[in-house]
Amino acid sequence: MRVGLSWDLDGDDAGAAWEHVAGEAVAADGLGYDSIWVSESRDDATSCPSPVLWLTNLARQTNTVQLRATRRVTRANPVRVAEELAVLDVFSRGRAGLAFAAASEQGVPAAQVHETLEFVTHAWAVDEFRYRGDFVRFPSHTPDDAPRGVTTPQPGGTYVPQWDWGPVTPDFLAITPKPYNARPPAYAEIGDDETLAWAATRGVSPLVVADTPTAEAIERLIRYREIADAEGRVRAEIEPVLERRIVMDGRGDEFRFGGGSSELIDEIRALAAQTAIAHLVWRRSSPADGDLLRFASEVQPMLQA
Amino acid sequence: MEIIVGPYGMQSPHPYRRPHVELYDELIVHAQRAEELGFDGIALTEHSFWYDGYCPSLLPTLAAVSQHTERIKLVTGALLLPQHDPLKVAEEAAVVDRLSGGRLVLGMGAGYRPEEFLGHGVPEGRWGARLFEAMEVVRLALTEGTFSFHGDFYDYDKVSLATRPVQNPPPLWVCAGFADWSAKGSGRRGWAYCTTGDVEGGGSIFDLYEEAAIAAGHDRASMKRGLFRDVLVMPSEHEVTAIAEEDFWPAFNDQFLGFGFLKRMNPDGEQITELPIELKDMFIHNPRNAVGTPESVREQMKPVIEMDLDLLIVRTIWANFKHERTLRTMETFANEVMPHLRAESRRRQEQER
Repeated sequence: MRVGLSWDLDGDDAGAAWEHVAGEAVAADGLGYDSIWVSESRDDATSCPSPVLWLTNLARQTNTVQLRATRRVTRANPVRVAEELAVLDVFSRGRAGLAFAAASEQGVPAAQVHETLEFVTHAWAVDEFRYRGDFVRFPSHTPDDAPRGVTTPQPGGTYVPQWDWGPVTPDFLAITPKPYNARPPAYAEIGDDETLAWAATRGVSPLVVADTPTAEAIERLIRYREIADAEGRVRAEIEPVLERRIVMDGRGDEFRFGGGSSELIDEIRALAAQTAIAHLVWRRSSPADGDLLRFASEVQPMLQA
Repeated sequence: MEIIVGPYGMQSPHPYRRPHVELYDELIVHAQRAEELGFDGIALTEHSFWYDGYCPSLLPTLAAVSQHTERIKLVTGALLLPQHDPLKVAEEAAVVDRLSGGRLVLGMGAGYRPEEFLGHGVPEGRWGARLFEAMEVVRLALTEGTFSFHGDFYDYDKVSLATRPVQNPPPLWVCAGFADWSAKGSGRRGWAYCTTGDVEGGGSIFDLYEEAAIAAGHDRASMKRGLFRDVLVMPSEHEVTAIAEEDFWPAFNDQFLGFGFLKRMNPDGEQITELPIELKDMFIHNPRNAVGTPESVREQMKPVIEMDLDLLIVRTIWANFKHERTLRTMETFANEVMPHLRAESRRRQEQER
């Protein structure tokens, strides 16, 4: 199991809060944590409205840790989402990944999240293409009678490279630069039943966030697994992610894992056996939650063994 | 006068393919070297959907550069604002400004490639009007706590950015070519204006800019002038020739044809795929370019000093310039041309006082 960290960018001062989290992220990289996750938010002055940008700032301060941004589809042009993540992936030499927040949390139809995720992952993976959906259309002059979803040009005629195009209006375009990794990981938060079923059917990796009670998280991940199995999805193609708050040596509750190292190991391993999670993300609230070095030394190796 | 090096496009064109990871690594090296050499800033340039990976994401890239530099300004030259959501740009600008400790300079242009507007879902036409309206949205978002804006293209009601920039606001520039509308429009609205100069590369376009500004009631002293200038400078003539032949000309060929600047057709009506050779000398020795040894470039830059600039973006790199050559050009310019420019600029300012 991979183990990562995520943060609430809380504090009175944005500079201090961001600096503190950046410091923990760099430390996590050195301690062998697998990933760091930052979510898009606009709650207050310490929020991070541009997690991809924030992680790009950190990309070359870290060496191995995976960089994961959780984005919303509101106030986001899918083309820009794809372009920005590609630049992060290039800067970090293939360590970028993207998760999309649940539609219900954003007040948008689930299909908007699904189309955005489908568009973005194809934009990274294919060359010239077009996309027609209810919420995403690329390029904008794609006709109404174009097939739904992704289409690519039909071969035929003499290929004209783009540098010889001259003044033309192409029907298909390629997003560039491509990410370093041809298939950056993409995740869908499965807080909505519609998205849970869609993601499981399509083989999109699920994410359950820290605000979901643990019992509900387990139920959702099990249901996801059942649908994915029924669809013939193999475990190697899916990376289920569970984000939890953890209080080392403290008391757990319906949202949090708590206890000493051995209790945490037992609890997390039991949950992993039930849900097949591949990635546990520790949602950090404050340094008092526990020491990163101690967790990396005492708990993480037992989860990865 | 602030002297900026760039703008970098992070391109890997077909005459000289490079891994993008190396280009982005080198950008950090160049930014650090520019800081050591005394440049005031480093600039990036943006396009989307171009086969060579032209950078479409300037603010994330500058966020990375900010981590590895301490002093130099981080300049978008230019971010093609009508192709973005201006509120989102303001938000990201605030984040970069905060991460960099207040070093962002936001240069914004209209863009001109139809496929970029189509790809980003922006209706064709009225790009200049969109630019000016979007710039006002950016300015309001970065300076006002809560604001409303109701224009022809953008409509916001009581919105605010939670994340605030360090600068209030970061310097905002219109970045344009040599079209009259950009000079007049910038002047009328009181925006700082960065241009490639008039058709001959001269400063007469600033007259248009200032006339429009004064007619609109702006104070002449508050108007800011910026200039993009291509510079190919090397210690020896044969090194200059190597850049011109091996880097500059192939880059021009590639981009000018592909971007549709030259709408020349072959007799059979097909788009030409190679620039006529007679254009080569014209492009390389265009009066907008300063090409040659340091002594020659110092002479060619004299008219630039007389433009009384606030900002000079020295373009020492095009798409396929070699890493070592670009560094050498930057160093040659910094050591043998920049001190002269700064001294002459100061002398002129003192004379005027």
